[in-house]
Amino acid sequence: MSVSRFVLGALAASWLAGCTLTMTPRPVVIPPQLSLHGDPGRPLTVVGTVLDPKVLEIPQGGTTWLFDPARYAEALAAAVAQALIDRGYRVTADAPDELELIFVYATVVPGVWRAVCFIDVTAATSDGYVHGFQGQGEDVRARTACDQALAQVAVKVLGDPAVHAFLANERQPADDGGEVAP
Amino acid sequence: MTTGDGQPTRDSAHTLKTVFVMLLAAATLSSCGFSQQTHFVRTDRPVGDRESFFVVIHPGDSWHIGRMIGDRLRRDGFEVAEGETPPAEAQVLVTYEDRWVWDITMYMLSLKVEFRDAATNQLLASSQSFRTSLRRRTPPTIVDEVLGSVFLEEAR
Repeated sequence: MSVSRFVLGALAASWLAGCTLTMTPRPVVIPPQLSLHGDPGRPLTVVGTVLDPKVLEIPQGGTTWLFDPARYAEALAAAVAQALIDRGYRVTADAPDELELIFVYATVVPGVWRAVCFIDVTAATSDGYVHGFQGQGEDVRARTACDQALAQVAVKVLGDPAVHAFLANERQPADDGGEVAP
Repeated sequence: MTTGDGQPTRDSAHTLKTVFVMLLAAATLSSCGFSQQTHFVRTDRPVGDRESFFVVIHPGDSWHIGRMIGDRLRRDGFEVAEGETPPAEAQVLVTYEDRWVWDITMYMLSLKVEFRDAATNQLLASSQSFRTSLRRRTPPTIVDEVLGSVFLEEAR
């Protein structure tokens, strides 16, 4: 009887552990070799926002992982800001030039063995450029897959030629305030 | 429930085996009979307001899912083209990802369809169906389900 109690207890503990996974993403790692040309020293503001702050319930392995878009948006903005600081930019809270990273949506495809996570982000710069980026990650755990997807988005945003042009201050603001073609 | 030397009795071993078999059966059946439909729609940029759609056919589409998506959109009155390279005049790019697995026969495990602004690559809407073996449906039914949820949400 004690053996069956132990087995049932272990199962219950693992189920509970799965239900209470943290909603905070792990820090995003941007490869140090990613280079940016631009105007280091020019003050920039980087903000992370969300289109819909609703926490998503993602089923995995009989449990539910809670995915908080607001925290992912914050993590993305922090990673991009850090990458800019590492490359000599001055990131401040209220600079006239702003890079906004809008967390749009995440989808998780729960596979039998591996989960696939897609994260959609829109990058908008204060000179009117708007563009959508998607990152994809795949792992046994949905959380790890989403961490990978977020890192991929960060690299894509910083690798985008139009974002480079914005950082280099090479483009004039759009006349009509609309979307500037990349 | 133990013998005098502290060993589990035959009864307790039998109970343990029964619990294990029941848990295994429950886990197997629950994973075979799971289905989930999710969708996302940007209400500030409705897909239904656009006129020209382009379904980007992926190279491995041996089940012609891209054509099914195009046909479904045409039935809804949209101007739709299909192919691998989008033309310049396309307003909305429709991409999809279908996943197939084997269980006695091949069936579609999941279908995800995305609508993106062709000019800016912004996500306008996304819809996904995930159905395991016991909840399987035919591809046209799943296409209807996935696209229907996008336009139903916009109509609200």
